Amino acid sequence: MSEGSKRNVEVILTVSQDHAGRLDEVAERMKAQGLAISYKLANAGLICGFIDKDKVAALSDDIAVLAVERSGSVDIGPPDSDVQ
Amino acid sequence: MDNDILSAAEPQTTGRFVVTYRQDTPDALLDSLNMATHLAPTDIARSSDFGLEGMDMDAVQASGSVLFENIGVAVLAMDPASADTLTLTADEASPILAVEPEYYVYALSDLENEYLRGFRDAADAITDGIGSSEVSSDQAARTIADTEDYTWGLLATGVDQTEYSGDGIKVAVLDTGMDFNHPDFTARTMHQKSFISGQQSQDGNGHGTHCIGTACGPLNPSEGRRYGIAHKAEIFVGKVLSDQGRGNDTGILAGIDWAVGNGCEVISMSLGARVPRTSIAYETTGKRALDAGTLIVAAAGNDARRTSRRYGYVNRPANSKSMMGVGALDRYLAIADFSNRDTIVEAGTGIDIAGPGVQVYSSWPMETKYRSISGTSMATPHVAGIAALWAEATSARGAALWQQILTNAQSLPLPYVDVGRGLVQAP
Repeated sequence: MSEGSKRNVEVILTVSQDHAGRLDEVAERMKAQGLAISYKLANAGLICGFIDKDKVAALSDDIAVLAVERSGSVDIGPPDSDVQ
Repeated sequence: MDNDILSAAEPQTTGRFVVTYRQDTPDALLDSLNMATHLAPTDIARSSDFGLEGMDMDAVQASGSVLFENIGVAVLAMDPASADTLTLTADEASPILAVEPEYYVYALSDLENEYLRGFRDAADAITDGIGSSEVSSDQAARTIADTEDYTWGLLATGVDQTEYSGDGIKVAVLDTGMDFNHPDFTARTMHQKSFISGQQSQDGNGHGTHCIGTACGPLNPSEGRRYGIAHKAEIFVGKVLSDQGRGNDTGILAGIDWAVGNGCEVISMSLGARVPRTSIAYETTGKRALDAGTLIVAAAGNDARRTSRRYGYVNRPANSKSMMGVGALDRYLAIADFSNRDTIVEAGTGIDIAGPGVQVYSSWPMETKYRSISGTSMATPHVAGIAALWAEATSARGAALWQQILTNAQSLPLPYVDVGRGLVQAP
């Protein structure tokens, strides 16, 4: 998994229920749009990867793509904190 | 008349979007808009053109776009696709802080004002009680303490009385990993996968080992009292948080996918981001997991400081409708000071249930071996471990398992927005 250029953003594509069974096909189309795929999640029906931020909008034009969202960070309390 | 009331009750969007931007960068905002949308700088009226008198709203059409430079807010007429593009391209370097749909606002009638005032007074009276940290003699009488044999959390949830062990059930804990050298777990079947680049599933933090201890720790630990619930469950250790305790949505979703693919009946996630909105990816994944027979349990978060009248909000992804959000209780069965409250942004997005989450004793990486800590992170694996017991006891899976857990929770004299259906109980 590589972040590549600084213009790249990490995105999560939710594939619509109708197309979730054909994840590989959808992934190939996304690759052609410039998505560097880090995960194809067959059970969840998601595709994750990095793409130039100017190319993000075009991904959602595909009929199989329900949503394109940015990946955000998640955490817990610091290790020595009493509340975790 | 009826129609007016209905339309007032349901918020309606105007079709325009409210964009909050870094106030010192109006020109950078206009550049971004020019690139990401069809809006040219000349399409947007600027409040500075109207001087101190303020904007002449007649001069701006109802469908027009306006830049309010003093407050760093723009109201823009653009289609939803352009708004999406704007949201997606907004990063730390971008002038844009937020893009939200613009809602219509309605005045309330006097009758409603009276009603709301009464409601607010009542709500204040309730929250005054909640904010109090005083322990009454009645509460002290109901204190549950750790004994030689059990932690207070296992006693409060009836795990000490159950005949179930999670036998035949797979539980995934998505966290910082596990100390595979811990003597209480050497005999257990464990599967592991790291979703953190450059780090193995071996827990370099402690948080994951503590959560796995509560959800799946042994019937007879190598020393001291019992602290674990589903002691015969098969454990799936998914490392989605680094040893520093950080991760991202992609890694977490990859961990969920791995657990669902392995047929785990329960996923425990003691993690979250301070984002008051859910995402389509989490909502959809949670639903698909339920459909596949996997229940996802997630921590509400620890941002509240109730003694200071701060109540927080449920973190993402616990705020997903399709995931069971967990609040934390102390040993008086009062809500923990730090446990986030449901803000009821949307029905079903908040707290569903509560579990023991203050001074919770469980496993910790060697040589420390055991440690007591607090958090909704500790309440969550109580619910996950007990979910495994219900899965064994009833064969219910997914949404049916969710229903079993909620209908069997112990009611508490506390607001639903804090504890959902109440304290989780073992079968």
